[in-house]
Amino acid sequence: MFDVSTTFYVVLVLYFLVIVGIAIWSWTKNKTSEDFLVAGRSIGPVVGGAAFAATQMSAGTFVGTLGVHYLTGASWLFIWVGMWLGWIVAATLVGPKFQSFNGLTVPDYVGKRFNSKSARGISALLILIAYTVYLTAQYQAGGNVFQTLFGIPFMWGVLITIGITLLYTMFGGMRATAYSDFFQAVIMAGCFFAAIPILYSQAGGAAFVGDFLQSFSPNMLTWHHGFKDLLGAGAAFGLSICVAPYELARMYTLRSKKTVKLAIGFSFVFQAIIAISVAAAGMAIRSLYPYMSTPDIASTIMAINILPPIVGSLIIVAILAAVMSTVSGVMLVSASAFSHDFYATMIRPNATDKERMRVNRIAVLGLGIIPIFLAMKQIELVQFVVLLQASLTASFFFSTVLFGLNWKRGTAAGAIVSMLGGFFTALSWYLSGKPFGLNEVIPGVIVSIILFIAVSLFTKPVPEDSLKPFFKDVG
Amino acid sequence: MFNLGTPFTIFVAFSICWVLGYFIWALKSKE
Repeated sequence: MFDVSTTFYVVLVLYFLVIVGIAIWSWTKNKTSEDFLVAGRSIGPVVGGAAFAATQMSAGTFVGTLGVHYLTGASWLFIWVGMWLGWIVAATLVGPKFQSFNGLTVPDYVGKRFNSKSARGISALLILIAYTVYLTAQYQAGGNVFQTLFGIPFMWGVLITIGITLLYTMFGGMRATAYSDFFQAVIMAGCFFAAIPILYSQAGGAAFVGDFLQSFSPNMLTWHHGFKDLLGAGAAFGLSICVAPYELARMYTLRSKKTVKLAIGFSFVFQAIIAISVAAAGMAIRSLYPYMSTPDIASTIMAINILPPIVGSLIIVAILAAVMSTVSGVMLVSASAFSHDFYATMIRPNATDKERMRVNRIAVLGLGIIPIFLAMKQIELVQFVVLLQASLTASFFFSTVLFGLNWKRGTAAGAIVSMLGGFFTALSWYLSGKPFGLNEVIPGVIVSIILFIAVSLFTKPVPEDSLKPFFKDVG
Repeated sequence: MFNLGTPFTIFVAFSICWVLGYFIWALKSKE
C-alpha cells in the first residue's frame, strides 16, 4: 500500500463524475436499439479514432508494456509496426465495407454475408464465451489498482471499477462508451505525454538518463529484442487487431467510409503518443530506480513516488481509464451477441424495439456480473481463455471477415469450417508448447485461410442478394 | 533523440512519417 494524497481522491471523483455525466447525456439520447448498439451511426473521426485506441489499450499497456521498456529499453516499440499494419488492413479491406453494411453486431455481418443462421450462431456463441471470460482479467486489473494503492480489499476495487463501467454501458450504450473512450484516450495520451518532461527533469535530464543506461545496461539502448521476436509478436498483434470483434463493432458507429479511414488515422496519433511516452517513461524510471522487485510496479512507483501529486493521480486515473474503456467495449459486444443475435434474431424475432432495448440493458448487466464471480473463483480455465482470447478470436474470425468481405466465392460452409478449424489449430498449437517458438495465431490464421478457400470452392455459392451489401459489382 | 539509443530515435521518426503518410492517403481517397 502506498501513501496516497487527498489530491488523488479529488482527481478520481472528478473523473468518475465526468464519466457519469457522459452516461446521463447519452441515456437521454438513446431512443432505439440502433442508438444503443451503434450510437445512431453518428460518431465522427476524432471521437471514433480515440475509441479505437482506448479499446485497444488495456491495463497491460501501462503496466506490462511499461515494465518491458523498464527492463529492456526501446526496441520493444517496434511491435507497434505489426499492430499498425493490422490497422492498415482494417482501413482498406475491412472497415469501410463493414461500416457501409449498416449492421448492428459482428454476427449480423456473418449471418447476412453467408446467408446462414448457423454461421451467425456459432460466431455469436464464441464472442459471448470468449469475451465474458476475458472481462474477468480486466476486472482483476481494476481490483489490483485499488488494492495496491489503498490497501482496500481486492473485491471492493473490482466493484468500484466495474460498478461505474456497468452503469455507463448499461444506460448510455455505445454512445456513452464512445464518448467516454474519447475522454479516457485523452487522459491516457495527455497524462503520459505530459509526465515525460517532469520525469526526465527528476531523473537529471535526458542526456543523463542515456549516459546512465549506457553504463548500467547498454543493450537497453540498442536492439535488445531481435528481429524474429519483434516480427512474431508484431504479427500476432496485427493479425488480431484487424478482425477483433470489439473494434469491428465500432465501425458501425461511424458516419461514413471516409470517417472510418480518418478515425484510424486519429487512432494512430493516440497510439504513437502513448507508445513513445510509455517507452520513454520506462527508461527514465530505470535510471531513477534501477533495482525494482518486479517491473510491473514501475508505473505505480512513477505515479506515487516520482511525479507531483496531481500528475501522478492523473497517471493512475489513466490506468483505470484503460481498464474501463476496454471493459465497456468488450461488455457491449458480448451483451449484444446475446440480446441481438440470440434473443432478437432467433428467440423472439417479433420483439418490439422497446423490448429489445430492455433486453440489451439486462444483457449488459447479466454479462457484466458473471465475470465478477469468475474473478472470485480463480478458475484455471478462465486464466487460460484470458491468455488466449486475442489469438483464438483472430484465428476464428480472420478469413470469415477478411476474405468474406473481399472474395465473393466464400460460402457459409467455408466460413463455418474455417472458424472452427482456425480456432482449434490455434488452441492445439498453444497446447503443443508453441512449436518453433511461433505464436499460435499465425498457424491458426493460415489454417483458417486454407480451409475457407478450399471448402468454399467445393460448396454452392451464396445467393447474390447476400453479396449485394458488400460488393459494388453485384446486383 | 533524448540520447535514448537508435531504436527509440528510429521509432519516433518512423511514427511521424507513418501518421503523416497515412493522413495524406486517407484525405486523398475518394470515399
